Amino acid sequence: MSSPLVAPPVAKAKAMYCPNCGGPVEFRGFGHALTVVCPQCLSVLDASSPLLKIVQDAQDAASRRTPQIPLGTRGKFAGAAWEMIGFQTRGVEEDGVTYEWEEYLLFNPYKGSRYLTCYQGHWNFVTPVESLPERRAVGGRPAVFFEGNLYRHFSGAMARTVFVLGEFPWRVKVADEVQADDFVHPPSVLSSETTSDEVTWSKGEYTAGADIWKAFALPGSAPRPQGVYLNQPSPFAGKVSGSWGLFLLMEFALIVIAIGFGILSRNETVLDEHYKYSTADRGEPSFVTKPFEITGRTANAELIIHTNLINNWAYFNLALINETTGDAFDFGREVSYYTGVDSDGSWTEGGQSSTATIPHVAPGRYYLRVEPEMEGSVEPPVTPATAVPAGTPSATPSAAAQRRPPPVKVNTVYYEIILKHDVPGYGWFWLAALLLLIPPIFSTIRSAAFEGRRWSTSDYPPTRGG
Amino acid sequence: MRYAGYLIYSMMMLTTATWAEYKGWTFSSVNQVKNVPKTVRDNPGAYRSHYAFYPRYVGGK
Amino acid sequence: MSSPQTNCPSCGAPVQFRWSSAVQTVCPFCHSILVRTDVAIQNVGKVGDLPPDPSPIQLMTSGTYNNKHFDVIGRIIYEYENGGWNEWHIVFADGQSGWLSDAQLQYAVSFLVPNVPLPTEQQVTRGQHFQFCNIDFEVSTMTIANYKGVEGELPFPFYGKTSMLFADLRTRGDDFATLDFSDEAAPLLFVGKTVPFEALQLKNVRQFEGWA
Repeated sequence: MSSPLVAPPVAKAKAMYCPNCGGPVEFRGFGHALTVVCPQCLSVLDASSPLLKIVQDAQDAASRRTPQIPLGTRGKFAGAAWEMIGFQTRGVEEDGVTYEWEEYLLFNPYKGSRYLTCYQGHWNFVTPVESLPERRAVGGRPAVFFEGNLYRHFSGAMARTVFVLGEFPWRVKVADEVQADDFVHPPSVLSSETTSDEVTWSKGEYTAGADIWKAFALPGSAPRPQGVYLNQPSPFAGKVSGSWGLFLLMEFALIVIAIGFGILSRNETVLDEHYKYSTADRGEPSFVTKPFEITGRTANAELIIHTNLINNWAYFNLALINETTGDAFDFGREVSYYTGVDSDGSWTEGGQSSTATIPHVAPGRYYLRVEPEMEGSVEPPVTPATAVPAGTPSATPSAAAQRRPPPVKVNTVYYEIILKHDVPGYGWFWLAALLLLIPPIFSTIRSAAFEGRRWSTSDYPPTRGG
Repeated sequence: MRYAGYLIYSMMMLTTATWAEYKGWTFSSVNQVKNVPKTVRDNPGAYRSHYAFYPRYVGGK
Repeated sequence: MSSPQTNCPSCGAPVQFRWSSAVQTVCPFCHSILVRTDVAIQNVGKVGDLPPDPSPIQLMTSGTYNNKHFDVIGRIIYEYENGGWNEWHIVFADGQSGWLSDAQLQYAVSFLVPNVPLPTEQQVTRGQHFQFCNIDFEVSTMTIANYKGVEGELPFPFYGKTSMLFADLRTRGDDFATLDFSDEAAPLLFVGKTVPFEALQLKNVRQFEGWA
């Protein structure tokens, strides 16, 4: 039941002849073309009438650009075959400099037109959009909402046609101008072209040059992109929030472990005594505490000295001695506290307490040897008949030590010594918590730097130091 | 895995911190001395801590 | 009104109305435009030779819309300042009539929405909003077009008209509408959706030289 009106395959339009130079003008678009450019003399011709009419005389040779994808090349993209049938370059001018980009018209006789844009090695595959994006303002800047995503305004400028080649399904000539705006949501871009008659929207997807070269079987390789393009996907996309998420998880784990240690530490106070020392005291200033038991596991101990010092200092020589084994921990702590009022207000320096951490104190029977010193303390003579620990220089009383000069001022300190065993320390956890911060901060900085480079070419460049 | 590097790094931090706490590592200015004689209990003055840091101690010996 | 086969009053060739509600058809042999009334079939003129037309759809094409099968049985060709477009008359299995438009290879399927209040030609401007079928539409394009040709069966008589205003209306999604002011006294509203080529699953489309 075939009707004679069913047509044979659509034939390619026959080549016509340029009214300017007589050279052949080929058609690839099966009758869709409204404008065609003579490849010989570069005249822009009106293809909508039976005879080609000149729209614009030959473009001058100086403005000739060579497309990276030759006219007539076919490539497979987005599941369909396309033929490159039209090429143009357009530019925007800013501060006397023209920034030019390339546009390639891809044609498929069933699916219509798509475009490839190229700027400094950055490619986009562009599809016309038939619905109307919703205009919004975000953060004081224009934006559009489309297909569930917010596209932010990147730039708007008058785009001027610089060079045309091949054929187009619309009327175009060199020096045509149209208001072009780009809204970005990397890796996509929504572009609008506004004339007095209508607004046309299209959506671009950032594409790697290598994919273009592969699709169109172009020789060589794609030129390297320069700079960061407006919808170029960030290599840090999602990584920043993800690494902060992992950071929080790890910090939480750290807190749990630290709390665990805190719970498991016995934090046992084994000594808590109050003493007094004065430089006026005669006799041996050093003394030993009563012995005490340290039980449990080998763990860190903490010695805390609280004093009543005000505008004074005291030094405590300390030794935690294991009565049974003779092992000792030998250390000293200075406590100094000064306070006053000056032109800036009141000030303090130092503190009235001091702490020492004694590592790996094994359980056993211990006592503490304490020797306080303050200003005016005189070193008492060493009683010779005592065996001193091996390795110490022999203690011979010096002439200076024999003298007892009169103290200038009597210094007294009341102090309390507390010794705790199996104390939790959080220093390592704080350090780990801090070190964990470094990679996400690093990531954030790098991502911000990338976005800074992206937006530096926009209408909204980030200000220095902003 | 996406954050393999950071994951490994953070696990290292966690295990090192945990191990350090468990083992009680400290930056401590405490010296260990051996063989302190029992007589020090009776005569504390005899014990001389030459290892304790004392900026004003002129240590004339 | 169901004579499936009749003879062309101009050339006598057998002419079949495949669709029972067809009001107009074109004789496939002599290209006379035949309008069917209750009484007889009238020859109202001839279609000039259709210019080579790049639409991939043809009269024997069939496809799917909303999971329903349709056949292409007629067409109207329009031309305007910047080109032209085709409105293909499609008919579904249940007899419903619709339109598949092909404008520079952008496709939409729409259906006549009768008995709704419509604005006049003067009341329509670009950017204006209208509510049709509970959908908020915005006028996106206004086109003045001329009749260029017809083919096959149409649900109304249509030929020879000029300077007709068409307003396209769009939404945030794929809803699509057209206000057809070809008959100034009786504007028509068609509402439907834009569709990508693949979604139509067209069979028996035209072949193009050099394209598989």
